[in-house]
Amino acid sequence: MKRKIAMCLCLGMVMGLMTGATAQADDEVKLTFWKSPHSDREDEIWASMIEEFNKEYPNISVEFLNVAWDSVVEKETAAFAAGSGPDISFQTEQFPLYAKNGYLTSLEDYISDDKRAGYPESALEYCSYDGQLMGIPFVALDSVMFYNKDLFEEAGITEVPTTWDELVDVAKKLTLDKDGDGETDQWGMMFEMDDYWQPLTYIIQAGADQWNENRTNIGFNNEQGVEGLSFFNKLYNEEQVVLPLEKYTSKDEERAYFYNNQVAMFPQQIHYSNLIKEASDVNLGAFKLPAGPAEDPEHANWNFANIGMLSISSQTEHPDEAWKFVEFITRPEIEKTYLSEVGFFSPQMATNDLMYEGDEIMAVGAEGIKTLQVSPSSDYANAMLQNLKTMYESVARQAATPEEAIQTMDATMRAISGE
Amino acid sequence: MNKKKIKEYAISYSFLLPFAIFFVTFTLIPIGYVVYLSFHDGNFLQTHFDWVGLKNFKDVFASPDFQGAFKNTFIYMLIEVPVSQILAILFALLIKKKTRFTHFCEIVYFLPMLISMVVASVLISYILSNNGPLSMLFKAVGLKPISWLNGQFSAKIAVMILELWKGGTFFIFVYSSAMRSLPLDCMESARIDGANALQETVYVVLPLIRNAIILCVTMNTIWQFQIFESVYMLTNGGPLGATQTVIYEIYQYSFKYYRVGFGAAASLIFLFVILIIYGIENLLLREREGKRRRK
Repeated sequence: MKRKIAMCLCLGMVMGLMTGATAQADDEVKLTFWKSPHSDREDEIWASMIEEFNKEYPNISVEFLNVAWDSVVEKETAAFAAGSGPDISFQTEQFPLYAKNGYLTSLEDYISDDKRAGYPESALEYCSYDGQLMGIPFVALDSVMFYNKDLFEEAGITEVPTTWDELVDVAKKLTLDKDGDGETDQWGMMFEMDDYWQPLTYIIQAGADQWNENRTNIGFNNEQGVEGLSFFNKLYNEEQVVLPLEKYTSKDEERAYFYNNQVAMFPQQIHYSNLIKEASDVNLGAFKLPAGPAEDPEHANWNFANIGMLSISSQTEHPDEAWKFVEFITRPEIEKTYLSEVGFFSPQMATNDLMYEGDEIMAVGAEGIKTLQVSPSSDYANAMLQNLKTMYESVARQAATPEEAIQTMDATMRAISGE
Repeated sequence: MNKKKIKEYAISYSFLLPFAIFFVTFTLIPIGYVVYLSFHDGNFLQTHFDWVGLKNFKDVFASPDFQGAFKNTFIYMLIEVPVSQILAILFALLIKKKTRFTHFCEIVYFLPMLISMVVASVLISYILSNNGPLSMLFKAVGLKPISWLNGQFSAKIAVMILELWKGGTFFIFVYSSAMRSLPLDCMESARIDGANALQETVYVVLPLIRNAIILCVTMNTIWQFQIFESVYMLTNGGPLGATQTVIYEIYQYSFKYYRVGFGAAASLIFLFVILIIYGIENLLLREREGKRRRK
């Protein structure tokens, strides 16, 4: 008899467990969220953000996947094509490719008027495709010139450069052979290896455009483009004020020159402020990128700026839950956690008011954010980025004149777009 | 044909079925799909591809990237294959005779094969970096260090060093096992005839392992045409495309630039080139065998 009772109890317990498990599985919604990293602590930051989200939505679990920048396009393409794209993804200038082929959900029906009112129209326009909002603007960034205050002081420089000519003068004063062995051991500036954007500044500031009208090829195969790239060549080869390429073989090796007070100026995106501060004791300052010779101020003051957005896949089985996550994350009081940790701004001015009070470096970046000139999105953005690097490199290595380098880039982009 | 015969055939062919299914699914259908893609334009995100005829093939021949990549691939093949084979034969000769160090040498030779290409690339890129041990060694002996991964020629050498170290060791084992299975009487009679070690190697060992040499050269040639990971990991095709290979470019165009048809056309052209080279090697081999038989 005891044996029968024990068996019945066991059976009851097992059935209870199974029913419980089924009930839980029915209620719980699982979402996947893919984003490429902007910080070494990306996983950690998102874990705490998701924890916060789960306090409000305990039945929605979000699995965060940190996808490396150099493989994100391939991985997302493969996943979308296979019908298993991430429910939520972080998108940048490449998003039209997914939007055009119907892999992103229009958020027009989800976004409330109140939420929409929090963003400048230009940001919403950037995140739209064919008149439909394809993502909620989440990250805003611009570029500044970081500089080593101590090196400026040593060289007796009291004013930061505001024009190209002043930049050359200052960089020359900061390029030194300190130990007198006949070789330069301090350089005026450096461009980060693999950085597509900063040298582009000179091309646009000379008056050229990044894209042609169709956004299928470069828009700087012209006089202004050559002028801009010639200025880059002047810095690298004529004046030799830039840390030469042969001095480093990796980003870490290169950054070490700035961290070790051997390079005075470093144009980069604003969130590098945090990276530099974490990695070194450099007495860091920042100023607006010196303006170029273009007649219209928009071109003359151009600096690389961008918006990153949170998009929802059209393949998701849980669009409502995915929206809840996107809506939660982009609330000013929530998104500031991520943005301030990484060193970004928000496209929402309300969030920016909550961050970086009294931070003189971020104040320089904040000025640029107010007049954000976003780099246009395109199907061919990835191809453009890959080939920009080759173009700069061929000039820096004197393998081609600026004119030749631009023409080669134009021919390559034509081959890629098939036009 | 009687029923018994048919049954026998059915049973015999049924043993081939698993492989046939595998072969059709993973070889024939993908090749057919590549042929289809090569005449179309589009990317994997699209549901519909546009017919473009021979445009992709024309674009491949006109692309400066591919011209450079073909040139680089041939340079790798022409330098790496002979160097790798000569070194493999030399190392195999060193361990031909069993000594107390043979086992240790075999382990050392075998190690690179156990390491993944990613790990090997990271290791080599550290060794060749500006602050790496090789640069320190150069400085210690008073030489000017070379920035290996920065120079267009030295970066190619760096890729070849990695390929040689990672892939070349395999051939040592092929040669070493071929040498160990040589008939001892041939060696003995060579020695009785007064041949020294060099003569024994040149006139006896090498001709006897000819088939192994042909196998290794063919395999190495095909492998060299397929170089990808080492370039991707070590140099990313740079500096200035100096280390780009055809496979690397196919990958770039197909998956980074979204020109799948272009990548497919390039793959077919490349397949054709490999088949020609393989055919030439086979012809040379057959000719020599013919000559040998006539003798």
